[in-house]
Amino acid sequence: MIVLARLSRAARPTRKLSSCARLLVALVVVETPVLAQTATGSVRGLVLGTDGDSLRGASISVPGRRVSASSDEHGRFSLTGLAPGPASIRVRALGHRPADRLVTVIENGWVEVIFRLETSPVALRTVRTEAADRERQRFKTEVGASSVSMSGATIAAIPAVGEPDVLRAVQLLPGVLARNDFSAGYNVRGGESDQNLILLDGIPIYNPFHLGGLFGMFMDETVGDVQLLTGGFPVTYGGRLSSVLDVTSAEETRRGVHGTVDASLLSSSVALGSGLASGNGSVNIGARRTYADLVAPVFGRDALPYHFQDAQVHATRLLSTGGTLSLTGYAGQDILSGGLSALGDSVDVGSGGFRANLSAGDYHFDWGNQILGLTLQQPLGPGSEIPLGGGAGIGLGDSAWLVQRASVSHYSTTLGFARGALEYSNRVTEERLAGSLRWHTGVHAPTVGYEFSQFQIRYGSQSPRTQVTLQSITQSPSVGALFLDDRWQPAARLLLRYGARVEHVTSAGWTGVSPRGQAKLFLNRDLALTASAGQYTQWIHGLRNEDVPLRVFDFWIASDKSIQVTKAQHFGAGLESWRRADRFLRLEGFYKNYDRLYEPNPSDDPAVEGDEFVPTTGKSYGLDLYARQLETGPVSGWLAYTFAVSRRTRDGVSYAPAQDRSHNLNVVGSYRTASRWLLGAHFALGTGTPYTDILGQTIRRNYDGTTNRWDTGTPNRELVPVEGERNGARYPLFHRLDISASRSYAWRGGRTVVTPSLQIINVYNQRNVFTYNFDYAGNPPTREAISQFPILPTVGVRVEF
Amino acid sequence: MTRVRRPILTALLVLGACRFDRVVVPTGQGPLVVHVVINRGEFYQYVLVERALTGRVDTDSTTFDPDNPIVSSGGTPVSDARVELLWIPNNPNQLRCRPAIGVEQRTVRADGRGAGVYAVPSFPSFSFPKPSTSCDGISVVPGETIQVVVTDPTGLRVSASTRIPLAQIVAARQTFDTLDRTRDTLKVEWTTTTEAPHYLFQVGSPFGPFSLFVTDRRVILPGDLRNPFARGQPALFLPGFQQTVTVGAVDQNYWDYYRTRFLPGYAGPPISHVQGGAGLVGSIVPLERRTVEVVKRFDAPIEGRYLASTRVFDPYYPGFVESLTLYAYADSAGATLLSGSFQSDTLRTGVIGQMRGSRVTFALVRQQSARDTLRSFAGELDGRSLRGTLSGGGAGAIEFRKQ
Repeated sequence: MIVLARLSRAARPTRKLSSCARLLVALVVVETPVLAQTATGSVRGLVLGTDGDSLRGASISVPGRRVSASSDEHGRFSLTGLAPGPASIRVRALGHRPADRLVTVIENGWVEVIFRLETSPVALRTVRTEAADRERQRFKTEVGASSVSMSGATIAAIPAVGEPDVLRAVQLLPGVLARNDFSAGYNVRGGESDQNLILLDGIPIYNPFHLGGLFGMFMDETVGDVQLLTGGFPVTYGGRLSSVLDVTSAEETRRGVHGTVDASLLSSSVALGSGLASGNGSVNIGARRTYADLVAPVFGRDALPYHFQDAQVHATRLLSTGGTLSLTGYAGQDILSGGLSALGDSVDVGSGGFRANLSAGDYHFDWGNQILGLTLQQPLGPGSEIPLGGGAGIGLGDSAWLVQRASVSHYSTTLGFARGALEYSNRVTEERLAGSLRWHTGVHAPTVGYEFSQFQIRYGSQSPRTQVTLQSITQSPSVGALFLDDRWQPAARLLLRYGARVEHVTSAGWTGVSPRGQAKLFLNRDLALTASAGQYTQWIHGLRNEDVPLRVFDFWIASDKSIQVTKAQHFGAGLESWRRADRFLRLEGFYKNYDRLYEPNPSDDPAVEGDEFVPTTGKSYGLDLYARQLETGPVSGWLAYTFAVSRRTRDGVSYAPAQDRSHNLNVVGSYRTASRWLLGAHFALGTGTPYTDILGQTIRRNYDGTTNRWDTGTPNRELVPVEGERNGARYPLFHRLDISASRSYAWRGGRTVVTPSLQIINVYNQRNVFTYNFDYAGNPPTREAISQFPILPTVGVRVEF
Repeated sequence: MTRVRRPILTALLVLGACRFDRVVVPTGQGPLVVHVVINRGEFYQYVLVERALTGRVDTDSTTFDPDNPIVSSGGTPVSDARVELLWIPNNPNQLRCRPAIGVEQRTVRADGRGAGVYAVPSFPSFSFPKPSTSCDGISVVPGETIQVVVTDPTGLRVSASTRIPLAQIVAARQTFDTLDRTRDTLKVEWTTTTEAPHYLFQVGSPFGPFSLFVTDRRVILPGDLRNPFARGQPALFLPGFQQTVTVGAVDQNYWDYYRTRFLPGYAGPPISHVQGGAGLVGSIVPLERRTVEVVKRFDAPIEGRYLASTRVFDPYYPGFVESLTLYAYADSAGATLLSGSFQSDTLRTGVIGQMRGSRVTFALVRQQSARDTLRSFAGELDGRSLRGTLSGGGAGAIEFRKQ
């Protein structure tokens, strides 16, 4: 789809369109009379700190004129509709000295300018000021309360296993629950783990985890900004019931090649970036690979035939129209493949015989994501309008912003056993077109947008070598959505955001409307009350059993005639109070009602389509507390506490879902010294999550129809559990302390910074229970715990240049 | 899920997880567990009655004995139970027979084996009694129902029903094939129509059966196929063995009981339709059976047919050891995996073993099951001679000479 931002009235299509099509066209065909006028010009540019970091949220204005703009997350801005001739451009950013620059506006042309703002004495580092500014800006301008943002620098200060991990950092935020140490997956406010929409530069990702969820797919060095919406999110997001994690790629705006090299015991990564010589774009690439498969033998264990690898590219270019074209690509793959002897497997031959090693049997698991997306962001000048035909149009006020995105997301999983004797596979491909138009008119800031996705989904199990298909599901649903969102400030102290999202899913034959609304009432400049309510829907479902504590990988299936679109209603109310410019406290209660949820059906008949899930209903409610000290001084961090209760009901039986954790506390702190030391700590405390107790075991016997006997030819008896009440027991209290320390050494006049680091996970070696193994075959019967992380020191080094 | 979780769990242990806090948990009274598959082709139906393992007794398994399957596999048999099988014909005018009563094998065998194993006589469907006559027992009629009721000595009662698959047998075919595992592919097709939800396709193997529930009527079996359902994913076809390929129509209960084994991510109990207890009450109608003689060309030095220079009396199966055929079918972790056959005067058994350097070890397995070792050999390959000791019953030095 092409954005026709330069179309004049005369060139506008005159063919009559249906009202629906007209609205779609309106989103991509926007008139900008500014360009057609002859007496104006434009200024565009970048706002940078002295160290080259881009500055988001800087205010750009022309004194004496009603023209202003804010820099985006990459520091870019554009001013249009300026009278030709000399003009003074003023830039202000919190924590920086204001800057003025005199430019000459060219008639019907663009002038490019780069501002490098000097740090003001009150700020320690640009990035800290930026974070404080962004959070304060969010408080002042965003309506929803359930939003948390983090920068790459914030994430880097958190003690981590090996290297900073975005998804593990997200687990420490209010309302977010990590089931155990071995999962980078997360549950938000009692929701299931497939209910979280995860976006990289607006492109959906279906399984952003490595090694059964132990690591996230995002490379810290390539992440510019992270925003998590834990509930009540606006209509601009759809398709998931619980949360949105919106990750934005980092952009290197400095000229020349700059980068970061990280090495730890688990992996190495490199990220390189460069601002284009012309100053109108950048290119950033990153790559990572683990070497657990190489390191494990050093510790005397059998080789672990596993590794994962990532590669990411992000490039942007400022266009002559003042817009920005950006490209994001990512490819990651996990591969667990090898012979079983590598895992110490063998087969007993007779009770008194010997052990015959049968390592020739191979297995092969791989799973991964590939995404590719192209995004055009185009600012529109004053006077632009959406043509509605017949000369009529909707005026876009004094400024507008058009976004168009085309992307492909692909996710695949293959579990192969015995070299093709048995295979499970899942392929999800989403081709997506999306666009939005936001403009400001008076006290309103409306946004209209659309999303259209074409899915190709295949799920099946087969035995390729025997040419037997055991199960095969092929789906190709189309999903369309239109949304209208408005941010309205009817009074100085009141902010409202409301809208509706209309969605249609072809495979389910379903059309629905999801209204959502948020309100914020400022009692004073530092205290506000918030409320939100809305309906949420989901049409693609993870075929995973939430009761299993380890998230290995997901299988995804779309809604169809048998699997309905699931729905949830969110309600939230709370308050946010700022104590200083860099410290705030947030309290929010929430209630979520699920009309219908799905969980995998253990009685799934591969020969029958539509019985893959069984329906449940449920509710979750609780309270989030979030107190944060932003990164403006030596000490920063946050306290996140969540009280939550979740219940599910299936076939009239109520039970606690496996993610139900009543109390969850995370305290994160970091301390930066003047001598470039960065000390970090994280303490976690949580009540135990539920599990289903095992009351006994039975032997699953095998009938041999050829001899009319039992268990002949079965070398190992198979014990299966006798289960108690579903999730009727709970693991013990969880707690853990992690610490980290790093020091930066500047070389080459500060152009190269080397930062060795030490992290110690679980400092006091608390034995937190991951799961239990039961043995009822012995007398007495026993239960043995398998721990989560023991004390786990890791070292690493980061080189920045 | 076990297959999926095993490498993942191992990965976690490599990454630092550890086992701790081994505690004793209370013992309970486990439910009754009943296993029976009503086989239309058999005159006796065997019902296994046991109690779930709850730690009341130590059940470390001993050598598996197919005549004593519960005890020898570490189960807790329930003796002196009342086991009733009731034929419930679809035709309401059909005379109702009195239930057939199971007889515990322990009580009729001189050696006392068979605790918890109850044999129930049945009529093949082609000879069920005429409606006009009174009858005792059950008739296995496709499309009709058998109810199983088990009452233990304490009065605890469990029950379940199975509907015999409505399979139209043309003839229970039995064929004999030879399969060279290095080059042949066995194609198995059947034409029988059935209303059963699935066909059970099964290949017997020393390391456990290869089982698929299929809806198609054709399965291709490459000779080098591996068995993903057996621990270690070993080769399915082992040269020297006679392996059976069977096809049967199974009922919903049978299908439910085993299907969860193939669900990735599932770690719960099997789906059981036994009311008040656990286990399987299912039925099968055999449709086809093939015996496959697995062979391979002799390539490696150790491969070939050997004759025993010493005749060793075999106390398990009286007779004298005659010959040994060995094949090398795979290399693994520095060892060459061996299989073959062992022939005495009266018995042919399978051989499973390995060779490291010149050291050769192998086991003679009963009924072609790796779980049931009859005897074992350890020795050295010296040119065309294999010298060592045959242990187990009638142990002694033995030499095999290659022909």
